[in-house]
Amino acid sequence: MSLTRRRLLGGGLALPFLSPFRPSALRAAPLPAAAPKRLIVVHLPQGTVLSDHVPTGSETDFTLPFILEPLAAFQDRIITIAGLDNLMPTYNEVGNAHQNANFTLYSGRPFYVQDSDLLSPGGETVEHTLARRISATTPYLRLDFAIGGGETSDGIYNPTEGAYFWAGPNDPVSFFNDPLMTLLRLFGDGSVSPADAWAQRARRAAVLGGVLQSFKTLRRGLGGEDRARLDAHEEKLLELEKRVVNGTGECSAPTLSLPSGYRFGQDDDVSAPLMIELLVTAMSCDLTRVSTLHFANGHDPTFPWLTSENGGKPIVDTSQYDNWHAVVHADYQPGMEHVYRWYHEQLATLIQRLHDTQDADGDNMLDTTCVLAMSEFSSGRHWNNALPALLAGNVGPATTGRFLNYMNGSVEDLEAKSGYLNSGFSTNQLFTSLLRAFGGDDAGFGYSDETTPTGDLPGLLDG
Amino acid sequence: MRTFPHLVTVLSLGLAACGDPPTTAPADCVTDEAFFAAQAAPLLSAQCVTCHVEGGLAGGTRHVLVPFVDDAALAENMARLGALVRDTDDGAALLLQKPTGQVPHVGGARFDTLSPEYAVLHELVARLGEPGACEHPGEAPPTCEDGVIYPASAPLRRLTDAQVKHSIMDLVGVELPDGLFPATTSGPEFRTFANNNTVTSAGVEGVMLAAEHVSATMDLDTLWACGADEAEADCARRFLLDLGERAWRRPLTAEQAALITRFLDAGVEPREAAQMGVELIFQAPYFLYLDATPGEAVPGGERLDDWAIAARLSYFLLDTTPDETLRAAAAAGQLRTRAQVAAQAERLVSDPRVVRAVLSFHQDWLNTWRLDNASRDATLYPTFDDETIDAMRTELDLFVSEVVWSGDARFETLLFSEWTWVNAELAAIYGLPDPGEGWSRAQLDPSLRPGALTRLAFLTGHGYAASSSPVKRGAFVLEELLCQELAPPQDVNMDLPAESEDAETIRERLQQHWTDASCAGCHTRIDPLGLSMEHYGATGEWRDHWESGIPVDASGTLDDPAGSFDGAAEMVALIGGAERARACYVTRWAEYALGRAHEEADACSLRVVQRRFEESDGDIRALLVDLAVTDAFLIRATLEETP
Repeated sequence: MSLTRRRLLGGGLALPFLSPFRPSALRAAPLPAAAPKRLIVVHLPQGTVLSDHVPTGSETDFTLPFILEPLAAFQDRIITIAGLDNLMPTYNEVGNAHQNANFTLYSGRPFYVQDSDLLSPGGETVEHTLARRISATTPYLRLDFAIGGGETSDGIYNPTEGAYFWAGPNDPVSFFNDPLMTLLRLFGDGSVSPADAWAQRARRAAVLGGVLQSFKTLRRGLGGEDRARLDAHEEKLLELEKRVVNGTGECSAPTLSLPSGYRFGQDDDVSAPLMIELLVTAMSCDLTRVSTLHFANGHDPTFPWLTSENGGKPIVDTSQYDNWHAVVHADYQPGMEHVYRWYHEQLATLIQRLHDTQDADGDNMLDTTCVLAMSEFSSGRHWNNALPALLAGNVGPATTGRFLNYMNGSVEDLEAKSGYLNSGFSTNQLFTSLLRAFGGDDAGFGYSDETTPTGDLPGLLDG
Repeated sequence: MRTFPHLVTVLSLGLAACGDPPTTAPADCVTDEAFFAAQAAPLLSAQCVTCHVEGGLAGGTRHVLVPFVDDAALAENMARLGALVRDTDDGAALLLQKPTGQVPHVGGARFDTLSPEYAVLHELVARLGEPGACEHPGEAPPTCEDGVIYPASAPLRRLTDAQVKHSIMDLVGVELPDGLFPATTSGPEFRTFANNNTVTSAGVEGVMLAAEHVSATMDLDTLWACGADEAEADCARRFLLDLGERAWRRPLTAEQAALITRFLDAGVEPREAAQMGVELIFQAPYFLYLDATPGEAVPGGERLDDWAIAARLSYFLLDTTPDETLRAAAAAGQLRTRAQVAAQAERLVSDPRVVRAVLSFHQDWLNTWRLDNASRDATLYPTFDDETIDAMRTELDLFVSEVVWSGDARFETLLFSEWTWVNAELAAIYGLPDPGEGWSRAQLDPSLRPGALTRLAFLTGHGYAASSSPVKRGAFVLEELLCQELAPPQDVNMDLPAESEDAETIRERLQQHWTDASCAGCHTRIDPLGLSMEHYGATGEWRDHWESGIPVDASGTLDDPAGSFDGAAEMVALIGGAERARACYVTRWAEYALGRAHEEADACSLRVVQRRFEESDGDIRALLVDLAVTDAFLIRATLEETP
């Protein structure tokens, strides 16, 4: 029996009548046998060094280059892709190069309106589409984790220019970025007894029911953007109410050890494994089916933990460059590749943790999870073409252990044209394939017209 | 203004000869062609063609004209503009918004929306969109005649985190700790803007946790003041209905009252029901959002009702929920006239809590969010740490509150005052003697440290780990002091030429990219302004020499306002002395107050306040009162109800 507002209010409020488990009837409809159960999108900001990123060799016999090397142990579990174009920035009239790339990449659409005061993508991002399909019955529609991104009072990072993921226009996703706050929010502090927890849930459900009712009365008389804003708020409340009513089930909190002097806004080398641990634990308990992991310090990090990898030289030589952003902006600078490689080391840690963990059904998590990792640029010089992408784990019908090269010519050819070399294959095609890998019958994703390639990414799912 | 009389004749004759259907136009009809030749062409020729021409600075845009050399050029340009207006989604809007600086325009703001030039452009766009009219089709642009209202938008926006905290303190005496209510996003736009206060999935849980914290820690016995002979249920009801009315900032409807007391009515124990009611009150949109109730109809819009005005005034000026005096005024219908609103605004501006709004505005205006993640090169700045940043923020707050609250509150003082506040660490950066423990007021050399732009928070925020940033500093002056929106570079190579034998200093490196036309449009204006502040290093410390040992050259010139300068004091004097800078400051305050970017319909309101700001010799506190009585603040466009 689940707790409903009607029951709670009509039933004289006998509080502790909650069921501790989620009714199985609420579980999602079964996916096709081969389809992954869950999705993790890992965002690696500020491009890469393509010459160290694109594998050499054939589709099935290829060598991982320096940046992808950390994934060697999982070479048969990944699909590495080169040469996808994000065509959407060309449709925009306003915004800077980062807003153009960041807001359009996963939404697959130009801005909602061409107004520099109201920059926002034209629709939800692809992982949100999937969340609504595969994660609607889990306690959290989605969970979003950031590594770094500044320290706010509530441990939640609200990106501005670096907003990659959106629940809809004007509705950016925010991220947990304080490991301790995340632990507390997702797993509790163990101070509430089970009986009290039930009472708390019943009471919360009752209050939230009233709050939702107040939204209905206010909405009268509102129009357009205002109504959309309120709708978006209400949607989040409904999700919270559902989580309160159904409970989050049993989930043992991971143990986190934090070094003294740790600063979650800056110490990404410490934060990355902690956030990965929190993410994998949360998903193993089926708190959600869709997560993002976002390296949020894309502008000012100095990566002091990589100095030794770089022969003792700082990655960001501040006598020469103002910050990391300025480094990636320049033509290739020695040392940059260590950062991108480090990102992939963290990706390897995530894949390893999935590989070592069973989910709530007893299935191996890597076998049942699709991981997508990509950047908004192929080079920090704001190149929107020839983006690399990486898929890992369960990619539906797609065979893993492959290198798919869609590039139009070589990396040198791309360099010669300063990045202006379209491949004819788009990120929107990749996202179409992603939706199909999860059993969707999507004809496409995002914006398209007669000039854009359509459909899925040829050779990905059928290869 | 030059006219092209011969072209009018030619075009008119040409038309008549075309054998078109007999025209029924009146004899005094001003044809599109006549209008274009007589009014639009001189304007376009003077303002646009320099850049918007093949090979010109804007030759790569969608808006490219040919020089107005002959009749063919006239017809060609009219055809091109017609196509731009009719065949592109946003062509008409951009033609109006770009030259008035409402959207970024590399060529800057050429004229404002109240100028005769704008009226011509407005008519041109209307005519091109609807060819064949004799007169200006469609609505005319604002002319700011007395009695005419130009209602502007009032987007639904959530209270900021600080406004929620202040309100909860004032309503139930609870100090909300950090870590619960979702933090307002800090970034380039004012914190009051709707997009900085979006409620996300993680945030909505924080709202709930905050409300639960309030209900668990409030002193209910004191709050509900339940008499010995009163039933607890009655006390709970009285308390909830009173709190609901104050927190939701207007009398409750029967439906709202029932919502707040629903737990009591369902038989929940009174104390518990009071707590649950409090949680509901603080999570409801009536508390969290401003400006959601329809008001009294006026032409083209609606006037906010007394309760909405009370809330707007209070959150704008005191950053908290309306006090008893405001509520009484609203209840008595005494926020109807401008005089009544002004009287309340004057009262609020005399309340010390106005400093909260004043600080919020100046922190956002001066971009202190840029300090959020700031770090400095450990070799060059070994003592720089988070405490340094906190101290810089404190200094700026003390400086601003001294100018606006305890000082003369003049814009000029904000820009030129030689006074500041320092602790030991900041005194060292300024090169002042050690003041000992705590904070001390300190006098600086006004020729070296004039006002807010030479305070450490601004200079550090607009600097890098090991160096200054003349580009960030100069762009600030253009965008925030002169309201010249800059178009962000898109596909251009933004790399600064590296240090070399030819370019040892930042000035020389910057000058190298002035030769690139795509950079020069903005950077020939940005860079001299920023370079004027080159005597201040990455943490705002004074320096006579650049890193390379070459003496700092902080000289430059600007075309508009026209003048030359050497160093920040002369630059600030040139800019700060310009009427445009005072007008821009007013515009930014209006945006903070309205919670949105300014728009065309604000023009008349802004003009009134800008004029009064001139008359008051830049009195900032008077400016706040003047803003509160504008149409932009009191009236909004009618809400379009969608079913």
